Amino acid sequence: MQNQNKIIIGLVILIVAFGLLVLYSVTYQREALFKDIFLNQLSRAIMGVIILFLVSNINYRRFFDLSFFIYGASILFLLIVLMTGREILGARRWVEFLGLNFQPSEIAKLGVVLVLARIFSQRQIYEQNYFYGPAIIKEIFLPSIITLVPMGLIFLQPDLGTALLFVPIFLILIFVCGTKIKYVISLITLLLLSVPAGWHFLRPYQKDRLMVFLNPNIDPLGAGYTVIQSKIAVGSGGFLGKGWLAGTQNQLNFLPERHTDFIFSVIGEEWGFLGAMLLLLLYAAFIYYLIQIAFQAKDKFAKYLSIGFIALLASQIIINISMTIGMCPVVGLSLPLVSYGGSSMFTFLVFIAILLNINKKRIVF
Amino acid sequence: MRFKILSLILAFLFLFLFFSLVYIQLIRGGYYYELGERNHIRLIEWDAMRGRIFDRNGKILADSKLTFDIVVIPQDFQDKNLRRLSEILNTDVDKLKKKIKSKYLSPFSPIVIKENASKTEALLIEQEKLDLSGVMVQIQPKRYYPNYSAGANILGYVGLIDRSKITKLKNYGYKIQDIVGYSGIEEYYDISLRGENGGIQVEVDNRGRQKGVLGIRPTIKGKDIVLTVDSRIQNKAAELLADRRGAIVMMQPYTGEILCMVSSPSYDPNIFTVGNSSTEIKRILNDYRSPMLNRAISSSFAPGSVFKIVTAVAALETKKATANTSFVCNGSLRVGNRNFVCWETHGLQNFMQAITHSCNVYFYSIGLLVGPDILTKYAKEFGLGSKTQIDLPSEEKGDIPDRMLRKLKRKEDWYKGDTANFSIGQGEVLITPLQATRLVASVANGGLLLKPYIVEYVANEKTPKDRTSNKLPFKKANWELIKISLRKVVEADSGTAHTLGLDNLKVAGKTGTAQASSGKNHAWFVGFCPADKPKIAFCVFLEYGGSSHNAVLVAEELLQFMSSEGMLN
Repeated sequence: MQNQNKIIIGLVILIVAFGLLVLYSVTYQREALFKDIFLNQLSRAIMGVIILFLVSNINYRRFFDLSFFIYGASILFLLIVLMTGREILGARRWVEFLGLNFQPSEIAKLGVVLVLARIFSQRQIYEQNYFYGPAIIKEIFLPSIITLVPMGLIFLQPDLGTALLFVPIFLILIFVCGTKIKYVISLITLLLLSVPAGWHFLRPYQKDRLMVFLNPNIDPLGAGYTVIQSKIAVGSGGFLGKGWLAGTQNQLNFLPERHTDFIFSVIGEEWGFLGAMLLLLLYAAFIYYLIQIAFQAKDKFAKYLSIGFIALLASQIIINISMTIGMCPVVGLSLPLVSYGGSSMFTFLVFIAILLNINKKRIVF
Repeated sequence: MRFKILSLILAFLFLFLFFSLVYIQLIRGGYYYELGERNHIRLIEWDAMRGRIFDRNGKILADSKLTFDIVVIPQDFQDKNLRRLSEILNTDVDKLKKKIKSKYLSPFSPIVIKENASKTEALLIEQEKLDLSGVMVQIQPKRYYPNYSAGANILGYVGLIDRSKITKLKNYGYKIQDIVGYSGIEEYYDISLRGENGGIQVEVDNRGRQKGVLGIRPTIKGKDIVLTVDSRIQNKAAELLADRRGAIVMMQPYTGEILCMVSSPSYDPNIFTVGNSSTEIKRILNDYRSPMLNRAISSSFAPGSVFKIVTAVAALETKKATANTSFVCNGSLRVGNRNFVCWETHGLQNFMQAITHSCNVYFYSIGLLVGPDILTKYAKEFGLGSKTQIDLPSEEKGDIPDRMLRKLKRKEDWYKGDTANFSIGQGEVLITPLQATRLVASVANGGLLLKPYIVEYVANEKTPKDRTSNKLPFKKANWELIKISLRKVVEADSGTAHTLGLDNLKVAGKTGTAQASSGKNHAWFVGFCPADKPKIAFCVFLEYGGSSHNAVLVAEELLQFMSSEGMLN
C-alpha cells in the first residue's frame, strides 16, 4: 500500500503548502511578522516533512512500548508549564526544554491517544490476568482517568479548547473499541449532565465567549468582535474570494488571531467558497485515506491509534472551521497543518508518520 | 459496524460545514461583502465654497471667507509636539490635550483645535510642518456678511440643515450636516449658491488608521449671485430706520428690479455662522419685535390712505368721479347710523384736492358710489391680495375684503360702513410694503403692474424673468390725473407730504396713516420721483410709527442722500 502512503504524503504537503500561502498573505506586509511567522513556519514545514519521513520509518510498535513514557512525560511537562511556563496572553501554554519552546498540551494529545489505544487494545489481557471488578471500571474508569488528568491540567492553563478536544477523542475511541452501547450512552448522558456544573469552573472570559456565541451582538467590540469580523471575512469572500493578498479584512487587520485560530477566515475571504471547498476536500480526502489505514490495520493498537488520531484531526478541523463562521463558540483551537504553530504541526506530522508506518508494516506482516 | 457509524458521523459533520459555507458565503455573501466594505472605507467630506452674493455695483454682501482651522490628525500626531503647538496657539498644553481627547472621532479624522486661526498662526504652522507632524492648517470656507445687519432680511443666513428641510430636500441631494440657507436669498437660491461638496474616500485598518486613498472628488464652488439692490441705499435705509420697526422698499418703476429692501429691526446673520453664539441667537428669536421677519414682504398691514390710489382709479375708471367731481367735507360723513370722520374739515374738495389733502370724506363718498365689489376688483387688478412673486421666500399675500366671499365663507353681511372703511384702506385691507411699492410704481410708469425681482445674475447668467409685466387696462388720462395729484401731495403747500422739500427731485407720493389694532398708527409714505420721468418708486413704512409725517421724514432723508450721491440724476 505504498500508493496510499504516497497519496497521504501528497495531501499533507498540499495542505501545509496551502497554509503557507495563506500565512504569506497574512504576514507579507510587515517584515517583522513575515520573518517571525512566515519564515519560521516555512522552516518548520520543511523540518516537519523530514520528521515525517524519519518517524515513518520507526516501527509503530515502538510507540506501543513508549506510550506510557510519552504520556508520563507530557503530564510532567504540563505540570512544569503550570508552574514555570511563559505566560502569553494570560495563559501558560509554552515550556522550554532543551532549548526548544513547545506546547506540552500538543504532546499530551499524542500521549493520551497512545495510552488509550494501548489500554483498549489490551482489554482482554486485563480481563484474564490482572483486572477484576465490575465491567464498568475496566471499560470506562481507567481510560477516563487517563484522559481526565491531562485534560484537567490543560484546562488550568487555561486552554479550554484543547482540553475539550479530549472529549470526542475519548468518546470515539470508547465507542469504536466495542464498549457496550449502554455504557457509551450513560457516559454521554453523564457528560451532558455535568455541563451546568462545569460552567462554574469557567473563567469570566470563557463564559463571555460562550455567551457571545449565542448572540455575538451583545458585545460587538469585545468578545463578540472576533466572531463578527470573522463572519464578515468569510462571508464577504463570496464564491471566488477577494483574491490572494487582497482580503480587506485580513490585510487591514480587522481579523485578530488570523495567523492561528482564525486562519480559515482569511481563506474564506481571499479564496472564497472555492478555496474553502478546496481545503475541505483536501481534508476529507486525507481523513478518508486515514480511515482506510485504520480499517485495514492488522492489530488493535494500530487500529485504535489510527482512530484516535482521526478523531483528534476531524474534531479539530470541524470545531475550528465552525467557530470561524459562528457555528460554535470560540475556543482556542488551531486549524490542523494550516495554522501557524510548531508544536501542533510536529504533533500532527508525528501522528501521520506513525499511521504511515502502520500502513507499511501491514504488508510486512 | 461501529466504524461505519463513525465514518457516517464524520461525513455528516463535513456536510454540515459545507452547507454552512454555502449559506454564509453564497447566500449571505452580498450582505457580508457590504459589511466588509463599510468596515474599511470611510468618507471624509469637504465643504464646497458657497457662492457669493453681490449688490448691483459688485459690492460683496455675502462672502465665503476662507478661514484657517488648525487641525490635528491623531494618527500622525505626536505628543511631543504639544508644547510647540501650544506656544504657537498661545494656549496651555493641558487645555490642548483635553481638546484633542474630547473631540477625537477616529485616527484619521481631523480634530479642530483652533477655529478661525490668525494668518500668523497658520503661517507658523505651515513653516514648521515638517517638525509638527500631524498638525495641519485646514482651509474652511465660512459665510461672512460684511454689512452685518443691514440687508440681513433679504440675504438670510446659513446654518446646519434641520430635519424638516432634510425631509423636503433629500431628493435634491441634501444630507445631514449640510450647510444650507435659511430665509432670504440664501434660502431661495440655495441650490445655486451651495455648490457641490467633494470628498475623499479613504481605506482604513481595524484601528481606523488611514491606509490609502481610494478616490477623490473635488468640490465645486457654488454660483455667485448678483442682486439688483444697491447697498449704498440699503445701508442708508437701514441707518434711517435704525431700531424702529418698519420697512423701506425701492423699485425701478419700469423693470421691477428692487433697488432697496430693508426691514427693521434686523439681526446680524454672522452669528449663525460662528460656533458659540447660541445665546445671541436665542435673544433674536425671542425678541418680541421679531427681527427675523422681513416686514417688506412677509408681513401685511393696513395701508390706510395709501389705498386711496386704488379707490381713485376705480372711481375714475367706472366714471363715478371725474377731475371735477366735488364733495364737501364737514369733518365727518354719516354712513348708515355711524359717523365716519375725516382727520380735518376740508370743506369743498375736488378730485385733486381730495388726494392732495387725503380727505377721507371725499373718498368715503366716491367709494360708496363705486361700491365694494368694484373696489375689490380694482384692488386685485393692482395685485393686492396676491403675492408679487418676487424671488424671495415666505412672501405674504396680504388681504383684500370681498363682499361675496364674506357672505359665502363667514355668513356675514356687508354694510355700507365696511365700504367706507374699505375706500380709505382701513378695516380688513392688508398689504405688504412691497405691494404698496408696486402699486405706486404702476402709477409712476403709467399702468404697468411689474413683477418685482431682486436677483439679476446667477453665475453671470441673467435670471430668467417673465418680462411680460401686466399692462393695466386703464385710461391714460386717468393715470395722468392720478400722477399729477400725487405730485400735488408733495408740491402743494397744503399737501400731506409737503414737508418733504427737495423740490428739484419732483417727488410724487401718497401718505397713509393707518389705524392699527393696538392703538398706535402705522405710518406710510409711498411715492416715486422725479414725477415726470420716474427713476424710482418707493415705500417707507413705519410699523406703529405714528403719523405719516414720520415716514415722509425718512423718505426725505433717504432721497436727499441718494440725490447727493448722484443716484437720481
